[in-house]
Amino acid sequence: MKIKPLTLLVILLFFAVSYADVPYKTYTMGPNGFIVETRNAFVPEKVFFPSVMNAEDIFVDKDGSIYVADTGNMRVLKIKSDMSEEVFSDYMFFMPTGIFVTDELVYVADSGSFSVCVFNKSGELLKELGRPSQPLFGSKNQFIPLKVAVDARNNIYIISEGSTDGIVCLNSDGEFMNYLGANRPDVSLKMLLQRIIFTGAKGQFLKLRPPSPTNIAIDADGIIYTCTYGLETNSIKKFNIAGVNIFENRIFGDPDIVDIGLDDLNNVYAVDSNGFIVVSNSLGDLLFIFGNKDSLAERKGLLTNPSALEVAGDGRVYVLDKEKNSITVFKPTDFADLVFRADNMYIQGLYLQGKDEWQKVQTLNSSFLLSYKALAKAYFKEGMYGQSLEYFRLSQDKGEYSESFWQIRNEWLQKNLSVIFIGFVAVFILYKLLRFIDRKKNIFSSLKLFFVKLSRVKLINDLLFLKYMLFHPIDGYYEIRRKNRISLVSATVLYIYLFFLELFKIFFTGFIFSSVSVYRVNLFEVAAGIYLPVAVLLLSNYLISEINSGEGRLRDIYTAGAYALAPYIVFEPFLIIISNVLTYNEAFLYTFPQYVVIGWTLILLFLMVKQIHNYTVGEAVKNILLTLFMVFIIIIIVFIIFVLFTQEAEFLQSIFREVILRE
Amino acid sequence: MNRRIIFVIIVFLCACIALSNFEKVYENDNYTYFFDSHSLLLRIEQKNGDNVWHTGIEQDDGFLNDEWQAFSSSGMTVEYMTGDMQSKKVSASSDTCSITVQVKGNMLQINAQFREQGFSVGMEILFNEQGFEVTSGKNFISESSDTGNRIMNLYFFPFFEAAIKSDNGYVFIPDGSGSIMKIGKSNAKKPYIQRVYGYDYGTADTASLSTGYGINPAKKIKIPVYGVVSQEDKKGFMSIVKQGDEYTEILAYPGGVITPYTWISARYIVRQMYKKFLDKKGTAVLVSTQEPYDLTVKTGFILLCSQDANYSSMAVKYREYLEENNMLSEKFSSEKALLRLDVMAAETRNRVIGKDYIQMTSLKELKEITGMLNGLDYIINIFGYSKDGYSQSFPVHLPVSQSFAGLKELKEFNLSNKNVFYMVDYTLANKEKTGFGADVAQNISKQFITSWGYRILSPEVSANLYKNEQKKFEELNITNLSFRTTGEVLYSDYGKRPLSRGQAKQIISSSFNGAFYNPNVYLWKSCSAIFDIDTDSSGYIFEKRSVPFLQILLSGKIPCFSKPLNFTSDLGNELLKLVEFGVYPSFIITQESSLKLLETPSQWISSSEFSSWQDTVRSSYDFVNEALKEVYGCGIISHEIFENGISKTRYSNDVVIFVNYGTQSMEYGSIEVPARGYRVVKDGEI
Repeated sequence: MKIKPLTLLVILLFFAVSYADVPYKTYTMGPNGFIVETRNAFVPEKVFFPSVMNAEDIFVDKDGSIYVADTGNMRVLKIKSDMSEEVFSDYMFFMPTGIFVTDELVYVADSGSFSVCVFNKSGELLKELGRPSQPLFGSKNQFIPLKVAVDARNNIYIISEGSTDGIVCLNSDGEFMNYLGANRPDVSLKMLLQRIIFTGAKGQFLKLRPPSPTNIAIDADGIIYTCTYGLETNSIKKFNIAGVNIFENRIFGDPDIVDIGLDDLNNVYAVDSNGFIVVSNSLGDLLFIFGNKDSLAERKGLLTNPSALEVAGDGRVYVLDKEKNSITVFKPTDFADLVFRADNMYIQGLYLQGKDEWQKVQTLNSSFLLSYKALAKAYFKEGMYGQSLEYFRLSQDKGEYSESFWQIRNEWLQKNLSVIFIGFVAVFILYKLLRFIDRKKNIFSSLKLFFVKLSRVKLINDLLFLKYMLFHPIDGYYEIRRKNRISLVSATVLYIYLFFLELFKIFFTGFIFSSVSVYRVNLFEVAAGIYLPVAVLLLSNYLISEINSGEGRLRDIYTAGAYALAPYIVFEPFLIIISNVLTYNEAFLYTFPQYVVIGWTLILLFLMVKQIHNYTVGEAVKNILLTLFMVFIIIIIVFIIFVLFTQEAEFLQSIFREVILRE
Repeated sequence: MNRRIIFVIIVFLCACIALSNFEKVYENDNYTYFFDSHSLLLRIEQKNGDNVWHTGIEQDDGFLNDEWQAFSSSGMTVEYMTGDMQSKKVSASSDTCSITVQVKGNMLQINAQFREQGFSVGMEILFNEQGFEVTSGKNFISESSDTGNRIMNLYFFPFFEAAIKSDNGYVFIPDGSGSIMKIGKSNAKKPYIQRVYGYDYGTADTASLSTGYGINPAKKIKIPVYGVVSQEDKKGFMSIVKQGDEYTEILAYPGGVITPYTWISARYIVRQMYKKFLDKKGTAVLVSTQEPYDLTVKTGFILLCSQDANYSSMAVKYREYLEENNMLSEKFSSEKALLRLDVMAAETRNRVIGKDYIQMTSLKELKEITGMLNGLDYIINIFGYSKDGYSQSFPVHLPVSQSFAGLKELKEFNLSNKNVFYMVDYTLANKEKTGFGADVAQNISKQFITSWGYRILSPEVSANLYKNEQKKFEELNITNLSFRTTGEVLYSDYGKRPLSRGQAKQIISSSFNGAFYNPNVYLWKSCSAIFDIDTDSSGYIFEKRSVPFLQILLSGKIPCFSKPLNFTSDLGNELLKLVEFGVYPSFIITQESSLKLLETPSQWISSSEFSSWQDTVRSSYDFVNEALKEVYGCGIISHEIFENGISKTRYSNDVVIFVNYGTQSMEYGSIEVPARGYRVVKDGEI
């Protein structure tokens, strides 16, 4: 997901309580995919202004000293915990942009001198690592180290500017080992088209190059995390030992990401150029979003142009702002501590042990999504399937929901199987008995007569014709076309029914198979979603057939169109009902018939075109393709007219306003 | 040695030359007033003390460019717009200005004729025992139409006591509860510029009304007061904008922003700049209103000496001013209330067809809740009692939903419970409420004024709606209403019933009566209790800390209740702040779990179930009550914060409350204040 202020799915209100006196709001993931406001997780503790200029990176070591890669002043500044400043080394840096501090050593990525410099803690230069000479590095690849990270075995990981192959990994001696974690090129349809159309020099520009990572973080186990500016999805990656991104499609992404940091629990903190700080747990679940951009006024906790983020051992978050030349320290609140504690249990799979903590979280914020996930798992473990079912539903976890549902259904079946069986037998016997008596005494004659009479009503009769259509489509279409078998009224009834069927589907499909949130249903949209395509298709088909010697009248297309949907109309309600008692284990019982129904309907539609217009198979195929083309044209025309009209309106409006203004 | 003496002599001579422009114009028992008829600056000397007040920069020290030099060293500066839409400033000390001054007893009548610019501005300075008072405004302005220049803003003594550095001096900014800014170099790059009583929706463009997503809006100015303490407990001044407050902005420049001086001033708006939109895309031009506002400036400058030179004395003096002018009177009733419970009755959720009514608390349940809270003195504030629940109800709140309570039950309850308020909002109209299309206020570009999905009604309509419903409320024996939004906003309306901001203020302040949410000062006289009062400033980086200025003003007069504490992340800290500021806690309470509010507009209430909050409510009450019961109905007479973080609030009954936010216990003299706790001490014990 992309965080863009305007697309934030938040219910924001004029009067909503501001959750305490910090300048930004804090959000978390709420049920049903909504981002919801929550109490503050981090509050700005202090803002200080060290004497730095356009600094690009910071590092907070175990003693609480802050090292700043003071890029603008070409030096590294050390700020001790008593806030006194000292220049770390008298080494002449050109452009220090990255810094990493281990227990004994300080690594500085100096992109100006194309090297990574290694110092001891007193600032003496020990090593200068330049461009690796190993052939594996690549003969054309440049070495412009921007950021650096070092693992427990002193292997060095370097982000080199423009390196599309990924992170440069050096061993502790500075020898090149391999590349790690390259991004994949992002191929869009537009780019593909451009590549097909453009040739020569223009095509060269469009060569697919994956973006190089922007920043790097490393955890205590030596697991590498990268972030990449400009990626819409998967902008944060966490690589396991095999180099596979385990955050793939899991983490809340952010295209404007600038830097990432990790705390002791391996929660991932990402800061973006809009001043948002996104905190996710080590599985990639969103915990908090806080912070904001300092656009109108300089308030404590807002950021102008953040360049680096670091999490200190005590959980405080340090954010460097290269425009304000400031460092803002955010302190976790009790609430954040509680969530981290609870989350840690959840991640370790200690669902029951973490239950109390999560319940506390839930008391403090009843829309904290992760609390439902975690508590649902705890309830599941305790065998409280009803409760876990409800919570899995709220957390939109369909897989786990299905598991709980299976358990509940299983329990129910075990309890009631005998009753059901006896019930079936009883109904069967009753049915046989009644038939037997009826044959002897004819007790149901009046009822039968009523049904016969009813089926003679034109509308009912027409609707019953659906059954005939299912298995005798060719004859059916013949009757529709040649004998006016179906009235316009009954076709219209079917089209209206389609709308209600859709609503039924939205509201009554089982949770596991449903994809629409009932809260976001708009009746108008549902109607438009059905009738617009139907209308355009029928109309296009009619227009195309008119010039292609099709025999069908508009009336025929209208009525036959409705009856072509017979399989869908007849069987879909049953499928919707069945979906309520199925789990993922038996998903094929829902999906397979679904495909059958759709396939069946498509065949009927094809036969409709063929029969109504009296085409050969080839003609029918041609007609269908032309119809689709026609639909495409209609959409384009409508779009153009729409654009033209809005522009026209805007043009007139501006003239009008200008006239008023010049009064 | 010799050189030094010569240097001192030269400096002295220079000073004499500089002084020579200042002539003595008036003296009273306290002060002698000197006036420079070239720059219009005043210099005031204390008679029985060594304090001298400078109303501007008297000597050019080479720090400033010409424009700023003139601005800082003039008693009057005019900002104007040229015919080709350029904004310019001209000051009284400029060469193109000819000044006439008439001395009439304790009054100076000044007229500054700006020949080149083609306008003249007059002002009157009235000397009094406390300092002096400046009067000016529309009636003092004359503009010739030849040049096409339009006067935009006026400044009087903008650099009053401005300084580059000071040991312990600070500037008082009325930001939220009040805040102080140290005099000296700051890291800030932007100044503080805020309109008194917040934006005027009528002229602010709608985009700027909604601060960015995810930002808590900056606090507004509730009181038209600012001041400077040049040296704590030695010298300072405060300024009260007595008239023209609705057209005033307050500017505070930290040291290092444009000039090295730290200064604060009022800016009086004669004409308003606004964005005129040309198309839907938002292309706009910046233009100014044609006609000047009906502006009368009357600003008192009160000089502060010795122990009066601090923010709490400023507040006490302003409180005296408000009392003398009947703008503030005592509203504490004999029935104690040290806690506010916001009870949500119901909310609605839109469905595909119609909406769900989500019951959160019924009256019966509310009675049970109050039964469990016996022994506590509190008020109840019910919201969401309407047929449409909470968010969709306003601006029409009646009838009360049958699901909340039956008519008879409701009447009986109201008759026997006088501590119950019903929340109303006559300023916002829900978008789904039909029938108010014509009543929505419009801005100067004739756009309907909306904010966060609500339409903002014309002040006149608000007043009428209230009048219509008032009787119906009385029939239900409801006498206490709490007005949300209405007290917090002030805006002009350019729609069908054009109203200036001044007229709107008139209507609002004379029509409403009850409890208000964080109201502006002009509503205090009709205010029985204040809800959701600011207990903090906006947190600008130049602000040293927030101070309880509002609370000092209101202490002993109107009971103040905090924002609901349900959502605070550090309750302990928040409660300490309430004790320090003398504010009573509030909580939102529902019978049902707040989970039921998911996907409703009230989703922000993420925690409110009474069963899980009961203990916290009681313990918070006990914590705050233990301190504040000692000073119930008493005014704060001084407030201080010491270096070690301890705050000391002294009340009129000589009770002193010390608060310690630190994690270690602290000592003040012989008094030990526990860590994250407080001590209540009778004065004699210190």
